[in-house]
Amino acid sequence: MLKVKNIQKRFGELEVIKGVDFEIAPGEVVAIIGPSGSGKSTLVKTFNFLVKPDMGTMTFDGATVDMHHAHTREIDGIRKQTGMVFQNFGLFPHLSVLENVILSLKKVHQFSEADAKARGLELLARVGLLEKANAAPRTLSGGQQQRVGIARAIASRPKLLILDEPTSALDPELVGEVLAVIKEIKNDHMSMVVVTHEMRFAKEVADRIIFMDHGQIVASGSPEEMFSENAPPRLKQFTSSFVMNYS
Amino acid sequence: MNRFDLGILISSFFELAKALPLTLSVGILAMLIGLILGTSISVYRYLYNGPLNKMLAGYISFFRGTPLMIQLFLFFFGLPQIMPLFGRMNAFQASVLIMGINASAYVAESIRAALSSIDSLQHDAGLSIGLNRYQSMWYILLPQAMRVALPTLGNTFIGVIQGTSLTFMLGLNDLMGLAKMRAASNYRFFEVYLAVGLMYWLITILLSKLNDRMAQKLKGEAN
Repeated sequence: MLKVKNIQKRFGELEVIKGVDFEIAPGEVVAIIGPSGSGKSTLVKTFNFLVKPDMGTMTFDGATVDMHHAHTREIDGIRKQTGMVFQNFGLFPHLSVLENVILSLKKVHQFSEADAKARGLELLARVGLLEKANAAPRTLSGGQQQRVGIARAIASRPKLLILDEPTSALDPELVGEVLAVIKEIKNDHMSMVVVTHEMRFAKEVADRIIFMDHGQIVASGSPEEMFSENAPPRLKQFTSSFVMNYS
Repeated sequence: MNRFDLGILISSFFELAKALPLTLSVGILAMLIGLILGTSISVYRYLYNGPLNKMLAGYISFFRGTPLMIQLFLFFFGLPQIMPLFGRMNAFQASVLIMGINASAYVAESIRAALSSIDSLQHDAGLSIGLNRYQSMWYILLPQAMRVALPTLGNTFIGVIQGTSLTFMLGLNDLMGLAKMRAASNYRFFEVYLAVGLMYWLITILLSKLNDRMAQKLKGEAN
């Protein structure tokens, strides 16, 4: 579905991503874990070109692009087929909850107003927020806002859903409702890549887990392998700190 | 010495009201030009980085950094000597155009500041749902920037209305032009100029009230 090769990105002196290869199959769920500053978020943001890499090639749905020299038209085309859930939600404050969800359907995917509304309401029902359709985003709790963010990201049935630390900005008691929605949308069989610090969630929801450190992929494998006794020492050190903190 | 005559003040006030449509149309048309031009400039400066960007910064600096009166004289009396085409404009057209250009510099500054106050996450979120950068600007960034800039834009409009009092120097019979003529004919300078001052004050109060209401309403929507 998506395959990237040799992605490199530096911000000034700082080399954030040092030649990463990554691949995700249709319907596969990949979790990316790793310490802060390891380049996880930057990496997934290159997938929809919110960050433009200095180097790398991408094959998206059969078409290959040179990522550094990608044409605006190619970038817009890829963005139309991807969705993204942001750590800080990024809902549009001047639009109602429903309008947030259906804006892209109307302006990008040429839905009629009625069709867009029907699809939007269906999605809001799915994330349990039908009664908030006409509310302003800022009247919602963080967990509710993120559920709207998820509905907005999957509205146009993207082939790839990118979730960048979807629960990191939430109060602990609101994390569960968002994780439940993410687990539920797994049923849609779209490819999903999740950057997360929720180790238990990663273990439960992911088909594969990738561990990043210092801008590189250090280990990659099934959840069983990644949390086993045979995992690489650096990974074990990282995951064990989480077990101490959270269980 | 004359004694203050309330009757002349009142009659002058209503006499001057005849020029109100002209003053308001110059002000409103100039503000419209200012809004369209100023918004376009700030959107361009937000989206692009190039030589034109620097020129636009110079344009804004010039029109904010020189007195309106000098701009009116320069472009109405001066420019036609160099470019005769501009001599074809009458005083009304020239006033609207020059004041519009002047207002555009202030509008561009307000909207630039408003745009830069909006979290870049908003633009990213717009792009992430497939909007191109122009759509993201139009549907996501500008509507929010306009709300932020509204109080400042209201003040710019008040400044434009007050600035129209200079256009009589191009020969326009606006409020000030009419007041000057009336004072010259009846020699009641104090009453006539007080009347015209009160007229501008009244317009300003009404516009400020309207501005506050709109700001209040937007604030209500935002919560």
